[in-house]
Amino acid sequence: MRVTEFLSPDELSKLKHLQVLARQVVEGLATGMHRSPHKGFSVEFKEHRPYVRGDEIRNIDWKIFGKTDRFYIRQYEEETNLRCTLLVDCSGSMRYGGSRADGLTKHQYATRLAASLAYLLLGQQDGVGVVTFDDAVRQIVPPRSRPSHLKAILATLVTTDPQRETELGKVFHQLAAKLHRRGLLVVVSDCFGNVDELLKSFAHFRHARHELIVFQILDPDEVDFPFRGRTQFRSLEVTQQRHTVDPLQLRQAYLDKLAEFRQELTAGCRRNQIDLVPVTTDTRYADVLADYLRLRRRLA
Amino acid sequence: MTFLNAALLAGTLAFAIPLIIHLLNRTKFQTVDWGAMHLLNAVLRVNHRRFQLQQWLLLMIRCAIPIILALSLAIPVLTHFQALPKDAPSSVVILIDDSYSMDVAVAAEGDPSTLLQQALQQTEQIMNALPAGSEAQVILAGGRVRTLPDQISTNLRQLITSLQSVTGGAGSCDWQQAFSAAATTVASMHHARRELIVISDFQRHDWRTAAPPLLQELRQQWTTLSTPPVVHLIKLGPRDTSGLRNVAVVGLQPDRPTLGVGQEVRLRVTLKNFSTVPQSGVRVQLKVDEEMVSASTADLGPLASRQLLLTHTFETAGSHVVQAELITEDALPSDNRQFCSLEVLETVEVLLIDGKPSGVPLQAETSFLALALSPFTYGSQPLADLIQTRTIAANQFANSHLGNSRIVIMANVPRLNDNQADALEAFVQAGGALIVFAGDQLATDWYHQRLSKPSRPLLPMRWGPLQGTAWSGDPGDALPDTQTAIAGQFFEHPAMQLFNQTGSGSPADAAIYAWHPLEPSDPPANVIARLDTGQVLMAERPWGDGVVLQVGVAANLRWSNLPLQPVFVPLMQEWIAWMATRGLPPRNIDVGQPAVVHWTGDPGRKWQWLAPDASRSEAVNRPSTENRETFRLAQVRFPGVYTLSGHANDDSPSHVAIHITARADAAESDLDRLDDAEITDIAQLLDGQIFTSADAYLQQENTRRFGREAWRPFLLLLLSLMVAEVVLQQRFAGVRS
Repeated sequence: MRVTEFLSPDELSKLKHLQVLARQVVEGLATGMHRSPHKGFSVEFKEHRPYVRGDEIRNIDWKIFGKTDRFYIRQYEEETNLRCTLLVDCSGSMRYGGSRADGLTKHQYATRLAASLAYLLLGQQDGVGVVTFDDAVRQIVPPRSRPSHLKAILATLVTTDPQRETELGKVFHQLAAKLHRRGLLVVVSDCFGNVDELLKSFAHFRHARHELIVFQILDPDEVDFPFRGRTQFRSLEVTQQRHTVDPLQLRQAYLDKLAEFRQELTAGCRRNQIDLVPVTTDTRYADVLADYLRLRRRLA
Repeated sequence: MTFLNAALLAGTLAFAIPLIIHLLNRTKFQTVDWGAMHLLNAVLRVNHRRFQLQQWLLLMIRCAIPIILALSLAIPVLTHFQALPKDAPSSVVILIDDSYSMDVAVAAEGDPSTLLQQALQQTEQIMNALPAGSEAQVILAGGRVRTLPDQISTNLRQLITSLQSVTGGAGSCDWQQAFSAAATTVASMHHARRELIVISDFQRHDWRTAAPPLLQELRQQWTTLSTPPVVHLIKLGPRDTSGLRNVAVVGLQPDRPTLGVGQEVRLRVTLKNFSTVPQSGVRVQLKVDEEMVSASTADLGPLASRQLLLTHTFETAGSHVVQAELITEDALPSDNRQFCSLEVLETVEVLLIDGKPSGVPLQAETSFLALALSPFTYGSQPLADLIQTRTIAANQFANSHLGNSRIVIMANVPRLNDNQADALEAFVQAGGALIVFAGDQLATDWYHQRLSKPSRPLLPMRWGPLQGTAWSGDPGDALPDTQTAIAGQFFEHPAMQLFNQTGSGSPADAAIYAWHPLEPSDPPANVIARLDTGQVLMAERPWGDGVVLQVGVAANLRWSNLPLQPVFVPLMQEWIAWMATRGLPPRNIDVGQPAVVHWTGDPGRKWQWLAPDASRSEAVNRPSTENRETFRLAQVRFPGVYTLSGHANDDSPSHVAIHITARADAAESDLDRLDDAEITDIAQLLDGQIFTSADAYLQQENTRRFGREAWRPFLLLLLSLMVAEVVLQQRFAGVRS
């Protein structure tokens, strides 16, 4: 399996030049590009400071003492790496693909977005893992920073088959219990479901001091409800659930409901300091990702 | 309720079309596998009932639209309003105001028709709508009331055709006469339903003739009829006419009644601006026999009048028409011209019979008379005298001297022989005029025996005994002490009207020394002037076709100084002018009066009347005397020129044209109209209804005959439903502007 199956060479080239900087410093085992605000004992010198009582004597720079006859302590910058886990929604509702999405379903769009992010982070020697879920956690690939780990991630993404119902809240609670180490969690989902439960699960993640980025993937049809003529809507998650309606008649009520849903979600994310990125599948996902990362760097 | 097009009610079945479309749509739908089902579920859970109600409401509206459309097209009629049998014939009298104020152009821009044309069109509309068997008559109220046709007609088609002959431009309406004629006509009609329809512009001036007491009286008269008429008033034109501009020629008056060839006549043209907008540079043309002879311009302020003085000298004798014409564009062209007929005489021959001729200048009895009658001739001035005098001594007077003389003056003639007296009586009998002056030679007994015969006295009055003392005539002698004078009074005689004006001199200025007071005889005479003493000095009485004037003073300086007074010349001129044209019917009359012409020329001509509307009618001769033919035209309805045209029967090319002009009341040019409240008052007095057009009248008539058509509410409902369907559909679909 090759990366080029998911990303075109042009997209790969574009993503290579992007620099992703985490907004929050995550402790890491390997050295990387992410600088730590903690000064300690590492390889890169930062500054000297006068000795004060309590400092360990072994940290005194004796060469400076020899020159100045004063005690100074050497300080170093510690380099860390990012530990990122991609949470990709594989529920039935992600199977929807409208006419304006260039033939992509929401799930296909989500897997490409996740692949792009994985490639970027591994290119920066950060650790990347992936979790697929629907009404339960289906597969877990733990974060690794090896470049060859990309294959395992992509293999996991390709083999998912979106069919079942969604229970995001329950699944995320389960995940929060499993992900012990703090890191960056990137949720790629339409977030359809009970908003309260979802926000509670997000809060759970935040409580565990995870950094959370939510890419809400929606099809343009779901945003503006463009249907005309009498239409039967069949559920992609529940087999026998269907409604035959006049779309024009309920369009406004649907749009109002959608706006309400998105507003609640946006407000909850803001409350929990979560970055929510609404994305429609007719937008180039690489562009959306790049814009978001630029925003993150500016905030950092 | 009934329907005029009941077959179209089948169209109500079209209500099934939207129903079928709805049912078909329920079985036909597209399928979408949908992801955001939890949103859709939430929407449907909350709004399901509302969506159903909206669907039902739209379906009901869509089904109602074809039903209401079919009902509208079927034209429903509410028979509750039906008050008359459908096809019952009516008796209708239509009173049309065809006075010339109706010649005002309709206000609509680009519409060349006049109010009268509208009135005629609406009359035709009403006629066409009358049920078969109806009878009708049109009465034209302008000028002299005229019926169209003469008898009540059931041939409505012919009546409509005859409306084309109505040209308008008639004089002012006399609504009293018009309503009286209408009442007579209505009373002689036959059907149970009788209607009187008045179509007018309700001009304020015209409707003054319809005073409230008259209208009340009319209404009372109608209520006594077995079937009183229903009155309808159709008012034409806007009520507010302040924006209409109208300038009119309201007067054209010559300064003298009798005119001779070569004499200059001064014509006073009176203009009036009937609008509140000032008019400047209004051009006036004076035309004589259709040819322009002079022109002038005038400025007229708001509602102002102005007089212009134009002169003309006639070069030929006969009947002439003078026309003053305004060159302007205003709302009412009909009153932009005024006509005046003038009879220009070759000369008036006067025979003076002198009772005391003398070779010494100014000593003869008729010297001053001859001087006063032909002043220019005696003054050797180039101006022409209308009057030509011929003097003859009393003892030489013979029948042959009368010749072409129109007037004979006897001055101090003592007596005549029987032949002379007979000739004189025949002369007066045939229409000649005789003036008798007193004098010192007068044989009063002879006069009383021969000319004041009780059976048929030629003299108007008897001579009284001589009073006062005559002057000797010698300039060295003093004037007699006993003097009297003509009483200063208002003179009623037409020939003395001039002396009622200040500045024209007065006969009372003359001193009279000797006189024969005139004493009454039977039949009584017209007293013209009295003396300060109360005695009669001048009297006049018709005799045969002629007239005799008797003067109790001599025409010389021995009896009075009247011949030396400035008034003597105009006095004699006025008297001769009056006598020359006396007995002739007026040539300038008012609309409504008959036109009468006397003809004393060669008999045997074929005569025709030519009216202003170019219509011709044969003129019938009604001989009054052996030598005189009289023609009378009773129907003078239009202002303008009426010409009596006489063609000789033989091969003679001679053609005689005598013109008579008719004038309407100048107030007809005032376009002020009654307002709505005043018309309502008239309608209440007549117990009538007011309409603004024949359409409105016919609409009510149709309602009364057939019931009220109710398709309009259905059409409005249909439009409302169509709009509601679009609006609701948009609203339910959440489409916002």
